[in-house]
Amino acid sequence: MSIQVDKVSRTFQGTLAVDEISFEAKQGEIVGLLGTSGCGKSTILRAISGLDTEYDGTVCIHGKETRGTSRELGVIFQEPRLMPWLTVIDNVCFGLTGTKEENREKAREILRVVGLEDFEQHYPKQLSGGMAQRTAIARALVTAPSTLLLDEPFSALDAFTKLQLQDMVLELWESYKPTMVIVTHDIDEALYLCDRIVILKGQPGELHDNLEITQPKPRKKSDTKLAELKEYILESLDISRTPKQRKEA
Amino acid sequence: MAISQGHHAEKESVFKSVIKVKQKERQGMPAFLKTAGLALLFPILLLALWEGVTRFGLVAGHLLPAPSEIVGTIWAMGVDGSLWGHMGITLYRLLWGFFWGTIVAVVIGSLVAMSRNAETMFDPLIQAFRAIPSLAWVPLFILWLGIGEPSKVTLIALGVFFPVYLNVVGGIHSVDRKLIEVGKAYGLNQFQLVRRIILPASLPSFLTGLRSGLGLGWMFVVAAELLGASQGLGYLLVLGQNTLSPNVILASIVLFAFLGKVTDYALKKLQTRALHWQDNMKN
Ligand SMILES: Nc1ncnc2c1ncn2[C@@H]1O[C@H](COP(=O)(O)OP(=O)(O)O)[C@@H](O)[C@H]1O
Ligand SMILES: [Mg+2]
Repeated sequence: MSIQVDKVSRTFQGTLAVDEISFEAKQGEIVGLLGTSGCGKSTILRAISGLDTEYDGTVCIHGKETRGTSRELGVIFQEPRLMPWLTVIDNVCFGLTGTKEENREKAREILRVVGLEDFEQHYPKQLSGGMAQRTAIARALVTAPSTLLLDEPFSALDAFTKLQLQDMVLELWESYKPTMVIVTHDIDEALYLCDRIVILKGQPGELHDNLEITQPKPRKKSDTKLAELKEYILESLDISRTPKQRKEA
Repeated sequence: MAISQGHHAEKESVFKSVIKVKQKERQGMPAFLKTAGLALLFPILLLALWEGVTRFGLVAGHLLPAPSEIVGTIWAMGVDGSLWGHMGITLYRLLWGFFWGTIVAVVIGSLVAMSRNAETMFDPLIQAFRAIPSLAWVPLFILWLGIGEPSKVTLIALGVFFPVYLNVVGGIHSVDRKLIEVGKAYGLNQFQLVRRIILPASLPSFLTGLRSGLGLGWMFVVAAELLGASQGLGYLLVLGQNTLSPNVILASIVLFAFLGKVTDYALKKLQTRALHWQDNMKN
């Protein structure tokens, strides 16, 4: 499903948090929302997901203006948000509607993918932060939603698990080409996964840039074109040292 | 080669001595017996002292009977069968009042917690009623409902109502908004949200409310039975006072303590069983 975000602004108690953001995610596209923390990435994602309906502007999903949640959208939150009274496998089954046996079968399969097959009977209190987040990712992926919204899904994970799960997301995308919007503050992650990178900046957050990345996936991290893009993004976010300083260092 | 063998032997002996220490620990008194002994030490000493001072006539026996005499009283009531009647009727009143108090508290509590309008309509009034000491209602209940069972059960239900109500409302209000959002993201409707998220998430608070409700229920059983009953543990209190038999009063108190403990233990078991998933200090 395609997503059009048109002039979305959000005001919290009189202060503007994001200011007229517009971008589009075409059917099957992976779009990255990139920006420093506090610039309104989660706010935009909540507007798209329909969990927040108090924004100005419009969000069109599949060409139709929507305001409110839908089963077509899978959401992975910044925190795991597992139900503490459910075991890992029951948490993964949370959004499934089939028979119990079918659900369990699907859940087991996806737990194997995220490497938690030995923990299906554990409760959230017995999991490490990374394991809990992997469970949450499994819960969102198991329903195979046609659109996935991910809010910094890997930021709490160690570097190895992160790489592994990024590849998993790519594999999933290869398999049925869902539309994805990934919020991230990790430039490498955005460059590795996304077809388009929307850069937000400032407070209130404004649209700074909208880059299309045409390199075929899977991409090599050492790709020179990507390295140039990274340099460009860093400079445009104003957080890299200038070339002059680099020479001195 | 020889050196390495010697090293090996040394290692082995260290290993053995560790095992020996472990075995010694196992042969000693199990830890739970030790704590049980420690916990019982003081009460047993106290009982022995009490028995002693009454046996040797250091206190007036007709005011403070010896523990053995209280046990004897209970035993005699058990033998002639009256004990079961008294305990049964008291337990029946308590459970019936507890049941109604809980039902009403859960219904009104969930309404108030889930709907703004219900909250503004009911909550101020309920809070105002809470300020009235519940025993003040007794004369009115007796006037309206007579001296029989209905007025007693109503009084007990009233006592149970408030703690359960407060905990139901508090429990639902404190459900993590983030978890509800997960449910919404999966397109759950209001009813499904209640069943799958709000209910289990507010269960801990509800069970806490049940336990304090039960405690108050016991208090109100005593009050209800003191006010006029022809059977029940509370009636034994009155009987003991009127017939100048402190052994009957103390027997009744012991039975109240026993039943109170048993019912609370049952709820506590239910609590630990239902809430084993909780991540807190106890678990
Ligand atoms: N519920 C809220 N109430 C008040 N302010 C909020 C709320 N949610 C977000 N904000 C504000 O909006 C801005 C953007 O927040 P957020 O979208 O969470 O940033 P990001 O996800 O990019 O780190 C921040 O300044 C934050 O303080
Ligand atoms: Mg965020």
